[in-house]
Amino acid sequence: MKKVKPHSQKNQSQYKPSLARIIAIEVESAVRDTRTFTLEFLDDAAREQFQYLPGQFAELSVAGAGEAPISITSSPTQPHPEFCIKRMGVVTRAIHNLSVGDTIGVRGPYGNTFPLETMEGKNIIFVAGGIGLAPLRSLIIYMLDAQHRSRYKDITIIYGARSPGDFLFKRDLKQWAQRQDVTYHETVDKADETYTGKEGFVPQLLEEVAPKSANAIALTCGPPIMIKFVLQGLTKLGFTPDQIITTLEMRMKCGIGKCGRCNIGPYYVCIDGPVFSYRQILGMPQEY
Amino acid sequence: MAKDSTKHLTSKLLPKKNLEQFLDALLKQYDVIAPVEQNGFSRYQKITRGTECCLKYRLPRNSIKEFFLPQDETLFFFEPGAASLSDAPSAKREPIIFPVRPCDVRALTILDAVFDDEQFSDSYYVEKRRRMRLIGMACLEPDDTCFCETFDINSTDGTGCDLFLTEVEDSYIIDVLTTKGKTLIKTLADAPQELIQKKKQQVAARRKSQSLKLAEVQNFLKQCFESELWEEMAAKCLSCGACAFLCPTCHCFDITDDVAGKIGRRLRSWDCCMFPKFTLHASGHNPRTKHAQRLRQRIMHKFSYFPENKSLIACVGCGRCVVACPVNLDIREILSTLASSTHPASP
Ligand SMILES: Cc1cc2nc3c(=O)[nH]c(=O)nc-3n(C[C@H](O)[C@H](O)[C@H](O)COP(=O)(O)OP(=O)(O)OC[C@H]3O[C@@H](n4cnc5c(N)ncnc54)[C@H](O)[C@@H]3O)c2cc1C
Ligand code: SF4
Ligand code: SF4
Ligand code: FES
Repeated sequence: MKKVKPHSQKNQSQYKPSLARIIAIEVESAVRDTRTFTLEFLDDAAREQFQYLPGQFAELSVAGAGEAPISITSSPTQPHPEFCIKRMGVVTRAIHNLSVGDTIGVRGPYGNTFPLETMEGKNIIFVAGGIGLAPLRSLIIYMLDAQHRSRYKDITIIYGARSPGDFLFKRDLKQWAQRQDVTYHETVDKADETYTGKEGFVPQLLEEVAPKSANAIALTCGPPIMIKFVLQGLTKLGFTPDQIITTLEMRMKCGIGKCGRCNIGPYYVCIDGPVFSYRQILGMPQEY
Repeated sequence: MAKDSTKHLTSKLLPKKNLEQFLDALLKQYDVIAPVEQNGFSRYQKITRGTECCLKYRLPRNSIKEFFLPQDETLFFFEPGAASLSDAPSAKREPIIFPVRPCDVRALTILDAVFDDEQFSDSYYVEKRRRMRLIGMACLEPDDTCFCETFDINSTDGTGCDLFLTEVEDSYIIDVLTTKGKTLIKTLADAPQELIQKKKQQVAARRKSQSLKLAEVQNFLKQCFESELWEEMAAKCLSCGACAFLCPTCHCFDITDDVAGKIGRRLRSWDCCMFPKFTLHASGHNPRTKHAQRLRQRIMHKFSYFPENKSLIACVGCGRCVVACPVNLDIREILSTLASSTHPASP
């Protein structure tokens, strides 16, 4: 995959965020403390400027707490940007403490995008674990949108969570499961008494579903250990490293290739990623 | 970086005894940054009088990068709780650095490649760079720790400066290289031809700084990623970061919020890839936990990754890291050790 350069953002104060209002908060998982925030920019210029595509991320900030890079989980086909955030440390806690109507800082969009053109005319397989669905959801919604659906062939979604309470975006999952033009599979690591679906890890489910590699692209996001086994599984199914797309997470600060923090080999994950092909990953130092 | 043309306009004469007076005249209109003597070394800082400038040491301990990328810089102010941000005020007087050595000038072109690239230009850096005037000075005698020549830096060439001084007998010949520079030397007389000739002879006869064989540096480093030598070389590294903070090309930074009462600031501050927490994720995962991995990152970034991306080696051979390291790690030795490990001397 080539280094994808998004549009130039010269002549802006790169570190001053635009301000947005939180217009909705959805508690996705009480167990994992994960919430989705829907935002609306305070001014039109900022809304205009925030033109994004699936795969990109933004630096969200709370004045006094700091900034954190978060994937844009909505699709540009939706009216407002959405961010699904797991409470981890200082910044994500501060964001979780905000309510509807509060303002939040947004810088971006940053990073490259999923290879939208390369994927046209192909069968698409999504393999997600836990919060790894957040960046992929943007692409799923984008592809399923009436404007874009015809450009992609069969769409298969394989999603796993630790427990039934850990499934994110339940409203979307239900829709995807019902759609005729999507094959949807889900699993939990550990079932409970209320759950009647599959039990087992994502890589096992992938092996069962056994998607064909011919004319296909697989996209996978999730915890590192899951990714490791999914990559093995996909390889066994005949997927070449060029047919597998994933995202890398590195600690980030600037998001614009200056601060050096996300550097791996010749790549800066914030501008050359976060989307990488498995081929690219095989060629870089194992420092992620 | 768009600088005005660097063709040589004229040569002026500044007798050494008039240097303080020259600086005092500049101070009337500009902020002047010059080396100031401390305990056995000098540091670049803002001066208030020409007499404070000390040229006893070749390279001040700090580099000039802090005047473009300050150690702590306010990106903007905010009032905690209020939904508005305000810009940090910019300095009123234009600054001048005197004197800048050719290695440090090259270091600025490396920082330019980072902060003023075609995709994202960093207005904080670019604005400071635009306002700055550089008065360079030739090195006719390198220090033991200088190895600028390794990177094809000509220590008598003023490219990138507005004015460039070369010491000749008890005077400086000032080459005027830009129109911005011209405004600084209005009152000086032209240099006499015989001194200009003498300068040329001196430049030709200068003692060059040491040169490492770096032609294949990128290639050999690629082969060295998995080398056991990293562990060995990094064994004594303290991860103190002195090397990176003093380095004119190291530019890693952190962004944090600082709140004191009703005034909040988003700050950018120097950081360093040699610090263990540099790459620590919120989850506790850390891709570079060992000294060896971090030393490797610093070296690979300068000599392999950066050249791959920007076609420039991110070291200028100033030797500041060599002088400053408390446990005497020497970047020249690191490179030559690695180089000879991939090309073992044939018997
Ligand atoms: C491209 C990208 C996309 C991401 N998308 C999401 C998402 O959609 N949802 C989500 O919940 N999380 C996401 N993360 C992870 C998220 O950025 C971290 O959980 C978050 O930065 C932790 O910050 P904190 O202040 O709460 O934690 P602290 O531990 O207090 O961290 C302090 C600072 O360290 C940095 N930092 C710490 N951990 C990370 C990390 N893993 N990645 C990057 N910077 C870090 C941040 O700058 C943060 O401000 C993403 C990370 C990256 C790099
Ligand atoms: S790495 Fe050392 S010698 Fe090279 S530019 Fe930095 S401080 Fe100077
Ligand atoms: S100055 Fe020396 S000890 Fe300190 S981090 Fe650099 S190499 Fe290590
Ligand atoms: S996050 Fe600063 S360089 Fe990538």
